Amino acid sequence: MNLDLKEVEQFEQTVRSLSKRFSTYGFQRIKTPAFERYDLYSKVTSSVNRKEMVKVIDPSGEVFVLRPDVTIPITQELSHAHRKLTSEHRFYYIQEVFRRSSDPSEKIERTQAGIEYFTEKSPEADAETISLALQTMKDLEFDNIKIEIGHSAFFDEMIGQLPLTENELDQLKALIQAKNSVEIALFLENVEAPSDMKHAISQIPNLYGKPREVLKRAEQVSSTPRMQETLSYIAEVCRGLASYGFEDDIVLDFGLINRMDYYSGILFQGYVGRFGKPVLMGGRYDRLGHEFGADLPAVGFACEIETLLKASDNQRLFER
Amino acid sequence: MEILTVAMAKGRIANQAITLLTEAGILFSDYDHKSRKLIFMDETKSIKLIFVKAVDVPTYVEQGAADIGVIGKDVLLEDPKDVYELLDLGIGKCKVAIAGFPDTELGARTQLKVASKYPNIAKSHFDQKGIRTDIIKLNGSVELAPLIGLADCIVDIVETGTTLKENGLVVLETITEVSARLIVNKASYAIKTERIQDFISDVKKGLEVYS
Repeated sequence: MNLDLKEVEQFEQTVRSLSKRFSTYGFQRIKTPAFERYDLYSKVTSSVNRKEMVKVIDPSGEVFVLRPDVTIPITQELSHAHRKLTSEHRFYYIQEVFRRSSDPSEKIERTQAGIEYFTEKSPEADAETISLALQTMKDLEFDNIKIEIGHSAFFDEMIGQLPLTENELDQLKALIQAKNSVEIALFLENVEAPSDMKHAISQIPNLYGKPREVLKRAEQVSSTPRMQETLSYIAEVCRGLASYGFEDDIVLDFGLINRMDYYSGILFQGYVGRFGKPVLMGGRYDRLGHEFGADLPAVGFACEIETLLKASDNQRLFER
Repeated sequence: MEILTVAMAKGRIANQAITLLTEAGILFSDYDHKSRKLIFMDETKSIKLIFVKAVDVPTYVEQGAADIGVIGKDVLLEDPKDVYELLDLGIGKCKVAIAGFPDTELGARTQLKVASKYPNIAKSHFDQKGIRTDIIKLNGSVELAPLIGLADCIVDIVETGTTLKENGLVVLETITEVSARLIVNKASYAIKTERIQDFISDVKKGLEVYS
């Protein structure tokens, strides 16, 4: 229980600010049940780590989980009504999610706010979503807001041609996430692959920074039509964001790769000054609907109110 | 200009790193390894050097209290953090090794007692080899453990091997070679991209002169 009234007020203010911004973009608030069937989450591949879920057993022996995520139940709900997307849907939510983190200092219950924008895949929709994310962070008066944008297809295409075991792939992913060029090179020495592909992978840590420059460098290592296509898609998203006036608030990062397996396209995460971790994460998840037998392309993002408050606290702390 | 905060641990690596930074044109003229000060500014007042305990360097960087850190790979292997590892500085080279009495046979017992400052590295190495272990976490003077019968062997960093030799121990197996790395906070890299990329290319130039 929180008896610090000032904190409670800040919390409420943040919730109001998010709701207001989401509604002005035409998103409508929805709610999902606190108890979900365990099957729903065990069915969808590696969306939420099973160990992190809080399970409850009802008197008849049925296993439920306390809502660990909101995207999956929304997608499932929508799949009952629509097999295919006939018109776009804009939903937002602000509600608790429950996850048991391996870090004991993390609370199990956190308040997640996010949007789900069900619409055909297009650079315009992605740019609009990212601009909403930026606008949301600006509303909260953070200094130094940056959104990193990556794309899963670029990396998938590169490693698709490498003969790697799952274990080795995890190793390579970890090295790429750490931008550890030295060890990526060592790792690739022992892998049998065309040298231009190896070169491309070793360049990923350098594909970071201002969109224009990064796209130019990425162009030089892109060798397949799918990679080319991805690059022009990203360029289109960046043009969209520039037209909203957000050119200086974005960086491209081709080393940004899937944390959640259901992302399949553009990925992004938001940072603010003086806070070491992302405060917001999102991406496109066109394949999630397939899990429920429906074709429901979508893009969205989520953030945690507690994290946002901690980040703005940090900014105040450092200003002193 | 925005200030970059660099975290290091006092000691040999810091002294070498500061020499390296000097080569790179980043000067901490008031730095003296005997000084007890914990914060130093460079001459242009744009880089702040802070001294923290070695095992805390990755934590400072992950949390964003420092933008950049200089830290041995051994510490990163023991307790991986969500940071970028952008450069191998090639200084502070040593190895993480299994050491014990010369006649120790690692696979001979049903359960091997291992004393170490690096319980995670030790455990994952022996797990990979399929050797069952009982790991005892110690914080210093690890060499003592086999001598007084607390453990069958130790896992520790070995530089010259002098300490081992003087205590009648030898390296039984090298687990991995380590050296100092330059790590960067992920948010800082997004927000101060150019500053950090410039800093890194300066350090790279320094590395060329230094090595």
